[in-house]
Amino acid sequence: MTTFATTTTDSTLIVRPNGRLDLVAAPELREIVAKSIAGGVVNVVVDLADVDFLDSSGLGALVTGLKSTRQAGGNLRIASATEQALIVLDLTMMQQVLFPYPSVEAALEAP
Amino acid sequence: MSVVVMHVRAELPGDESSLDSMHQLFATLWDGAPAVTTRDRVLFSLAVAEIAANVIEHVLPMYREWALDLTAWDDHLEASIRHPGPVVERGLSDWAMPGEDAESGRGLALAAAASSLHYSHSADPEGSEWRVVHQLLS
Repeated sequence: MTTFATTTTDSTLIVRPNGRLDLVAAPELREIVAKSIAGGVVNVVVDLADVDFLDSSGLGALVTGLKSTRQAGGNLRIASATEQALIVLDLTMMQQVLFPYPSVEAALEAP
Repeated sequence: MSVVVMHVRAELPGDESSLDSMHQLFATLWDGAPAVTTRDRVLFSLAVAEIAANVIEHVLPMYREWALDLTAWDDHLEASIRHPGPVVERGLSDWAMPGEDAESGRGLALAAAASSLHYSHSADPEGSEWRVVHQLLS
């Protein structure tokens, strides 16, 4: 079962899923981001370091989060993608939209 | 002539919990076929998982089980995904990669984009089958 650890740093929510980000876990990520926006934290970094399998459903949840944070005046960034996640981003041609930052720190510091 | 390196099979329940079993089956397959590269593992498991998710989402609400066969040959990887009843056409039409702002609909396109994969689906009196074949380059 996938777990989600969350911390808030400098008005940015950092979400760290552990396990698979797939058909089963995607709804929880959507919910976490939606609650964050509702609470006024509109910048989100999703740390993918411990995601051992990303599928199209997980990618869809990241796109949902990207759109909803931007609509609220913020942004969603991804960091520390594994080789598997990078292959998914490449095959779906989503690396321009969801740029994979090498670390959470890099994602936080990016302009 | 191709030689079987490892074969695993499981009968799985028709709900999302079966995805855990599917990934455990992948792990067993790779344990028995350590020469398969990480990229080949990723591409093959991604294609199989997307097809399985499609079956779970569109087919299994009507049925309660499916079967997964995974075989590592010395020159290719092969999967058979079988379920009762006919192939359900709904959900099989979206093979094109949707736009970058799409929040769903990438599953089959992603499976097809994982190179060297081929799919076929057929119906017989015992059910329907998807086959995924991934040629190993090395």
